[in-house]
Amino acid sequence: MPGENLLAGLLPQLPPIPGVGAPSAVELRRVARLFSRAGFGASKTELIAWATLGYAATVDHLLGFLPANLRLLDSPDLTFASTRQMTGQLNEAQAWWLQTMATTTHPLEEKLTLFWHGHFATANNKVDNIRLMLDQNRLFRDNAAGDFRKLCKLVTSDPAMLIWLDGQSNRVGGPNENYAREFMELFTLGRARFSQNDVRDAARALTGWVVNLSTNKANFVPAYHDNGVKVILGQAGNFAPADLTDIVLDRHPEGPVSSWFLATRMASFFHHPDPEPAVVSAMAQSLGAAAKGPRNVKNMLRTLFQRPEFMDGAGQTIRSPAELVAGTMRALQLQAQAGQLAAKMRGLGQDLFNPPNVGGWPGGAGWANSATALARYNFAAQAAAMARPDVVKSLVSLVTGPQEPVHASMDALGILELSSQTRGAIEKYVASAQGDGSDKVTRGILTLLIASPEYNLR
Amino acid sequence: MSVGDELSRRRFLQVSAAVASAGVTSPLWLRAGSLFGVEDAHADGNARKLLVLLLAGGNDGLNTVVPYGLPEYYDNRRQGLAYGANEVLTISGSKTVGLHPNLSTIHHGFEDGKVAIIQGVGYDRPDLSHFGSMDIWQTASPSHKYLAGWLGRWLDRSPADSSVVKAVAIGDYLPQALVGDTNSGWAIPFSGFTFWDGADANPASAAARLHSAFLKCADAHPTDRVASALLTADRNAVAAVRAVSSIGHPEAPPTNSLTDQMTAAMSLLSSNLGVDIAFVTLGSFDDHASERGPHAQLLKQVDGAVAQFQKMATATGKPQNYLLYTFSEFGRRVEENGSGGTDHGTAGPMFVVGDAVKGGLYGAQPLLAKSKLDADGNMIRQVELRDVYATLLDNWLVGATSTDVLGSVSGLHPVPFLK
Repeated sequence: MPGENLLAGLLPQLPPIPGVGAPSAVELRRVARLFSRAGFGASKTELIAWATLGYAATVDHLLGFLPANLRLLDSPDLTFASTRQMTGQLNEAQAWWLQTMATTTHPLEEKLTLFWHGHFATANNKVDNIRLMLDQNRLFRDNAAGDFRKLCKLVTSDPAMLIWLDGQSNRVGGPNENYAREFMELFTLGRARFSQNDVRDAARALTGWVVNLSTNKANFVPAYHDNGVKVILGQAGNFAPADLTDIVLDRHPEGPVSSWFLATRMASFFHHPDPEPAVVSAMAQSLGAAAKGPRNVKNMLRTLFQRPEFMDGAGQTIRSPAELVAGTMRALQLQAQAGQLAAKMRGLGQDLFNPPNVGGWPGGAGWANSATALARYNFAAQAAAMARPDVVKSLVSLVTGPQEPVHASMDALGILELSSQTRGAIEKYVASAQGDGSDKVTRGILTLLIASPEYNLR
Repeated sequence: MSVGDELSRRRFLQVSAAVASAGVTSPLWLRAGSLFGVEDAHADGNARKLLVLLLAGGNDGLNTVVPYGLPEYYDNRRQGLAYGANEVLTISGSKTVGLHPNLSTIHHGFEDGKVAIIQGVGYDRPDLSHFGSMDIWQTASPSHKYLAGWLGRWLDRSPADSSVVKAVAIGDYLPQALVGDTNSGWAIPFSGFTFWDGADANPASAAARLHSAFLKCADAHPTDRVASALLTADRNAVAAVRAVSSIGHPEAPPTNSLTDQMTAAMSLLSSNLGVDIAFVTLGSFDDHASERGPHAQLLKQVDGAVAQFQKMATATGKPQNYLLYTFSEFGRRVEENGSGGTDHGTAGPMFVVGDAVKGGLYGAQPLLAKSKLDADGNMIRQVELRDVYATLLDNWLVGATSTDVLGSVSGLHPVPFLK
């Protein structure tokens, strides 16, 4: 049956739990929303199983992964980033990542890796070295739900980032402001939270890193570092690159601005683009504020997932192309088509490893325009056409009755309910397609469901 | 369905019927000029067309319109990047500024009186963030007063007409400038803008039945802003792909060149769809390192884009109806950094091109002496960006006025760059 790979390793037989009946509709809806936001969706069968265990237990499960670099048993695919020789370059890397998203048993880890890729947005079109892009991808995965302070320091000396924002040519006597500005504006503080003088002196503090392209490693060259006194956010000293993160996180004159900034970015990504101030505030406070202390991303996400606004609120957003494609691959078992589907990502508006600029993907309503909407319809039609005949047949033969392929397809995609508008449109299509044969009609239903507002909003 | 939607739908059906009756099935996308000898069916044949060319990333204005006459351009701040006076294309009437050597078409246009150079355009209290500054340029609001773009607000506030669509962006991204509160432009990629499962000319075909069902799913008006954006995009997608198919497709997929994007933009502007505004973007101007060669190559592309614009405007027989302008979110620092590049700066030049232009230099070259720069070491703007937009709104685009779109701005000084 499609879409059961997540549970395959965890609850293979779905044994009935004695004394526990079917989950309530509310619990089922909450769990469905959680999987669409914190993962890449799930089939209704999986959702029922998780809802039976309960929302709280599902949150624990999603958050309960060990960092990828500490896991003893790992999916062999995850070693791709450090060992595999690539021939297809960008497309192969994109296909690998989509496959990983579609098949992982740690969906939140992959979702966070995607978040960090958009947050510390780095594009291969300038880095021009997919090996370094994959190393960066692994850095994001290894630190996906870890310490934001540590991640900031690691990204500051990440080779792909040093190339992308010109850190590698930032030297004493001729500072290059590119990384310093974006670090404060886009990675940690937000706009108008620092001055041009802060940018200039932060750039001086960051001088000294170079990238060795024969080893693909970053090296700090003391002779290239500016050892003068810098003044950043009111703090004066002979700062080294790692000091910039500590100053920005601990010493901002307006308080823990960086916690609010990260909370807003994460709430916009995981929740919806206009997050409630109370949600952002609770998230920011749960990140941790001790000087030099950890900034615990996992705590912040747990806070978000437990908020009533997240569980039951009206706010929604558009599924990103990565969520759409990986989720559909998962539901329809299209892992073998990952390369072909990865090639569609650019038209959908999310070319993985090539964000449009250092600001990352705007998300929310920014995903929707006439071009990307057509690409979404076309993706739906193509994915429906790609599904193996046996997968399509399972949607037809599961149950009987004229509407049953609709219900079975909804269940595979994890769509719990349809608006009367969508239901009416699909019923009319089904009525018009009676002569087309069950395989073709089912693929038509799948097309409409994958392109539907219900599936494209979360 | 609003009156405008109904008119658009009716207009669309007319166009579709005309296409069908003319038996037009051959590729037309790359054909300049009108489809059926009707310049623009929705207007009086003198519709004003505006093509916007965004140089994204922050174009180095000092190496575009080069102040070779200012000794400070040659002091120790820009020694690796400055162009010598003997390299610059000098222009009539100025011993201060000339053009980058790769801008020969623009230079020729200037000498012909068909190019206006507006120098030192920006806004007060400059924002050196790409995103902050881009937002100001695209919403025409230095105080970030509007969420909607300035051309989107023009769409919102102009009277409905029979256009199928009034504003388009070439590519798969819709710039903020074209996003209105109630009306937005369409994003149209320059290739592959077709239904994957086939055209839907025959309503009984499986593809047509699916497309109709897809459209019906989106025929709702939710109050949620994001949900509404998705459904609007779905409806626009179907309308746009049908509209584009009505004016034809390229015989061979165009390359991803700026010239091809200009061709697509001019094809749409000169079609009978009622398009008044087209938006094209060229990226990679964020030259923090090793600027000189890549920047020169980008300017060569800009010059080629202007040449394509002129060629296609002339081919319509009414070149006086077409206007092109360029902008960037900011210029760059006077002094180069240690990487052979330049960091974020402030004011920069704009080009306005067309037969309707009153050619010449407008504004003034910002001074470069350190004492004449702002506290951050950046140039002082000479012209406010809304002074340029006001001219475009009141003397070019037909519809909402500068007051409608910009609000009541005190001290507005429209720049008289049109005949």
